[in-house]
Amino acid sequence: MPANTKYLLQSPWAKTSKIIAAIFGCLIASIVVHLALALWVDLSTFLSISIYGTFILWVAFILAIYWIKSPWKYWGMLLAVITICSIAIYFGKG
Amino acid sequence: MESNDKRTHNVFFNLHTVSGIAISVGLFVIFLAGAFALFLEDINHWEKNKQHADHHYVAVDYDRILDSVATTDYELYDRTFFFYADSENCYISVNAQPVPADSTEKDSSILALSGPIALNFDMDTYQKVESKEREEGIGDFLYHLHYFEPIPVVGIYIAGLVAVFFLLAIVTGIWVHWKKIVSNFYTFRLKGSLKNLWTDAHTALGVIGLPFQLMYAVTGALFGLTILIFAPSMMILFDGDQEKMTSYVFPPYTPYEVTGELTTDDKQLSVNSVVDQYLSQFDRNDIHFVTLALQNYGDKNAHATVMVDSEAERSFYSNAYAIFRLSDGQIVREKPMDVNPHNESVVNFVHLIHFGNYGGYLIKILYFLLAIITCFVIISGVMVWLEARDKKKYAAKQRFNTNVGAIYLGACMGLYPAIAFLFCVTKILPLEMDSRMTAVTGSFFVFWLAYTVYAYFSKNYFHINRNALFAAGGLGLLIPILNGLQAGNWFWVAIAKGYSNSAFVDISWILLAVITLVTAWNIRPTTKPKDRQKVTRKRMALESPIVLPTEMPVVQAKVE
Repeated sequence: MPANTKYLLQSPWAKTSKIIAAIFGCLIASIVVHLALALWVDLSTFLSISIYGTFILWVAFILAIYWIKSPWKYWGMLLAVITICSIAIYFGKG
Repeated sequence: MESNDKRTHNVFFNLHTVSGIAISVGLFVIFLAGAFALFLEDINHWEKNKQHADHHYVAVDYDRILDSVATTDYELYDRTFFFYADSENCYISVNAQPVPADSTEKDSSILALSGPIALNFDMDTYQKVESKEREEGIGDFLYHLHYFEPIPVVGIYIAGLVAVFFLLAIVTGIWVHWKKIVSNFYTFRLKGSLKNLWTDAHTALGVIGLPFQLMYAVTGALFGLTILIFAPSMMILFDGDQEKMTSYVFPPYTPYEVTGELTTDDKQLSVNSVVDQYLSQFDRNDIHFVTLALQNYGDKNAHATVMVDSEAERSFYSNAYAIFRLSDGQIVREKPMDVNPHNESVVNFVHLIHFGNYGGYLIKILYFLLAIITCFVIISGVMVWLEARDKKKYAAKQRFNTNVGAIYLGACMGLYPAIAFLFCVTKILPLEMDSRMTAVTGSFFVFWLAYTVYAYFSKNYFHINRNALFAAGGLGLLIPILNGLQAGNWFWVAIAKGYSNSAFVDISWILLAVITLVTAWNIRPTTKPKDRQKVTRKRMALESPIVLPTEMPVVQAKVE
């Protein structure tokens, strides 16, 4: 049986928002997490981990935002991850 | 809590369905074309009637070649040379990138001489030979099709995205299936509804192939979307300095500074002595091949990287390298064969597992079978999706679903006979024909399109699946016959004459075709296809009265 639609998003806006968050938001979040780790922990190790880790973390983020119901919460989470990592990258470079 | 669990289940189930259906055709093409592309070299040799290539180590006199290159008019200073001994074509190739732009004057005559170098020297006489342009074969074509290269520019990125969604579909699929993963693994309901049969096949084979599919989802994404990793890393971690990143990602190619001071011959070690010194620690019979990269030629800070690939242990890691400073022969960086730090091995490891280049034919045949299983998982997934929607509840979308299903199945299943057809056509067209590859691949695409169109008009899923198997089996049996007729390479002759690639392809096709035909003969539709057509007709008839009244007044008005 196909998934019960009563549990799924109905509004096209909510759907679009989630898809944008899943494809772009999660990808950017995954990339910046790896960059921040490379700058703060160990460049060589995390550069090579990022080669495959980026895609695994990307999909993990997608699962997380589909698991979280409220759009405020998942966008908040993504933006928090991106902001924290960007600040870390900024200071890691400086 | 209970309802939250249900919500997660349904949300992930929907994610699994949507991502799976969205990528199904693309993923099927990737896996089926990729399964054949594993045997790229065999297929190319089979096509060109070439003998089995004997790749073996050849000792090279690098200094002699450098002297020969020096007699050409090329500007040599500050170049990086790559040497590769091609034992199959019996020549040593020397390649060099153009001289870095800032170190040359803006004079057109100098620019020509500072361009890229690509020279070949005969292995025995060290005379310059014309480079044989590598002809594309159908093995290459299938490999390119595997990552959608025929789609200009964006093809490889689409393939990468398909791999990412494949990873998503795998993880959500396991999540949804988790509670029943053990019990359902032993369930195979052959009788009863068709949906159950497809569901059981989908889940059981999906679980069997899981590690293989997971590996391909990640490595495939990586190959397709390398740019997503390297571009941000290069910009942010290395301030846009590509050379700096190279030393981290590909340490054997670590770049070294150019001092700008010329070196004199007597102050620099000969390349041969450095290579010989390094190779002396290996058993000559174990060496598979040696590659040499010579950096900053003619400069005081020239470096030579010697890379050795060994065949001694058929293990994942059989490579070693050392970078020598030519001014004093010191090793500046080294990786012995048995030391494999994580950050130096990732790229190598990913290559090995993706291409299955670590265990000879046995591994490749296993990979092939697992890829076919994955194709079956994809097809059965599409079938589950279709069967689950073959209900009154979905009557409004029935027509659309049937059309989509027919096209999906036609494009997927049609690829198999189209590949068999590709193998036939290449043996029918003469080898010396002009623009041969265009004709061969063109007829492949026409066949594939024709099957999809047939599927669209047939709309009978059972017939689409079965006829594709019949066509592929029939054409598959023709392949060894056409090969025998064209080149006289009947597989028993080929074995005796040492054309082992040719015999391998022929015998594989016979086995594949026989299995395919036996399958095609034995599958039976569980629900009678006529019933479905009747049902569809009935539904269309039911729908039409709703449409007619709105249209009729318009028609009548015109008549009046």
